[in-house]
Amino acid sequence: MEDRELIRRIQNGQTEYLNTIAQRYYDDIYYFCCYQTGNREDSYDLAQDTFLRFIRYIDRYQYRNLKGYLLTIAMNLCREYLRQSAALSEREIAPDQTKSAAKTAMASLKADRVDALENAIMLSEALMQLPEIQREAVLLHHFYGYKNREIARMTGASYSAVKSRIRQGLEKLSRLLTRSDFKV
Amino acid sequence: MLLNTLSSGKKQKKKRFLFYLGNGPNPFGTLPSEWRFPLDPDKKKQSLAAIGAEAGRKRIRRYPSLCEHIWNQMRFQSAAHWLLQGILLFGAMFLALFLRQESIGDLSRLSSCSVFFTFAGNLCFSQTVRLFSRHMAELEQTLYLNLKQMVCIRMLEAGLCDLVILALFLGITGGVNPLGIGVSLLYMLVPFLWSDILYLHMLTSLRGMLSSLRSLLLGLLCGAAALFPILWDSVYQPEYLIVWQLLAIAGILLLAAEIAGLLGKIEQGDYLTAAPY
Repeated sequence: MEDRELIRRIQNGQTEYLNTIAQRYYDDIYYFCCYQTGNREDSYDLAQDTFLRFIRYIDRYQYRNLKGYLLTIAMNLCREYLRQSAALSEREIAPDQTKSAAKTAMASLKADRVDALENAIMLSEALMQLPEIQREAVLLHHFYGYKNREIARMTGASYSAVKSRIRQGLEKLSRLLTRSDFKV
Repeated sequence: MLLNTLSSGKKQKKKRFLFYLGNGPNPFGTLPSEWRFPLDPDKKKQSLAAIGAEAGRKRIRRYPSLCEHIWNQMRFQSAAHWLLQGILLFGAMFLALFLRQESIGDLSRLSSCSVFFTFAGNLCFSQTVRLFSRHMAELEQTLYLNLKQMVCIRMLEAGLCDLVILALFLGITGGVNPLGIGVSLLYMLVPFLWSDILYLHMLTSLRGMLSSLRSLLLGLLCGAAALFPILWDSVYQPEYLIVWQLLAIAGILLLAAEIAGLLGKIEQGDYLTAAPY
């Protein structure tokens, strides 16, 4: 069923379709939170909170781009999370948590999944070296396929600001990956 | 040996990552599987269960769209209101047809359109007077009315009606006026603006004392402001254009302030001047 139809039915009182939306977009939201915060464990809570916040405001939601809307909520929650983490000085240990948790998980995985996990760890490590605003722009553009204009709408930044964030983010990532001392 | 193999594998991954970044945005709109961490199915299940529980508790409140709000307002308009709108529109059409005659001078054509437009605007606007009655804000609280929304919709309706008439007249006078459509618009808009400001101010300051008929008469009286430029033919000369432009800017600012004041009064209600207990 199309997203528009789902929203129409939910707003007409058939709230059971909220589960369909959650099942459809849970993974995307989870991975976004994961790469944005660098913490795999807390990302489950962040993804859950994204949908809970969506449910709270569904009455007034006017359908345009559902996934973009959910990612915008997730982005705001991640910003809040990072602010709180920075205040608690836990921000630095987050990537290590991801790394250690991933390494323990690696032992129980098949070879092809190990490869994907290694990729994911490298991506997470590299992205965590970027400033928050560049990271979200690169993620949304390169990994979720959003256009600059759409990201500008989602983040509240101007078109040119988004363009320059993506360019600077990509340059930084390229520099980082070509450096021999960048270890995963 | 093993270390070398591992290190060359990581180099390959880095190269692949760089290649991926160089390829531009992902066309599939979702994170590719090669960049996904394995999800813990139990935690995902728990999260989805919590979301499902919240979804089960959710009670949807209905918020009508703008179109529905407008339709609801229009449904409660009286037959007299629609009759008046029809008369105004037909009047404008007949006047437009009449003014197409070549024997009528440019100046007469322009001033006739301007006067008709101003009177029509005030007549359209007089229908909103009922919403300005004293203590409507208190009534709004009691009956769960959204007075601000009602006023806005009525103003929108009056504005649309004015626009139709203005477009009709501009089509006639703009083409024949040697100064063009922009200047014709200015000559028609300035008397309309100032008459509207006067009318709106009187409606808000005399609210509670006006019946429908009185407000209609007041509208006609305020419309007479549009007759002033006709008394001095020279005001339509090009050297006075700057005066018209300044009046237009001042009128727009004043109208905006008047509307803001009106909406503020609706929001805050009336000050009660009754004696203390």
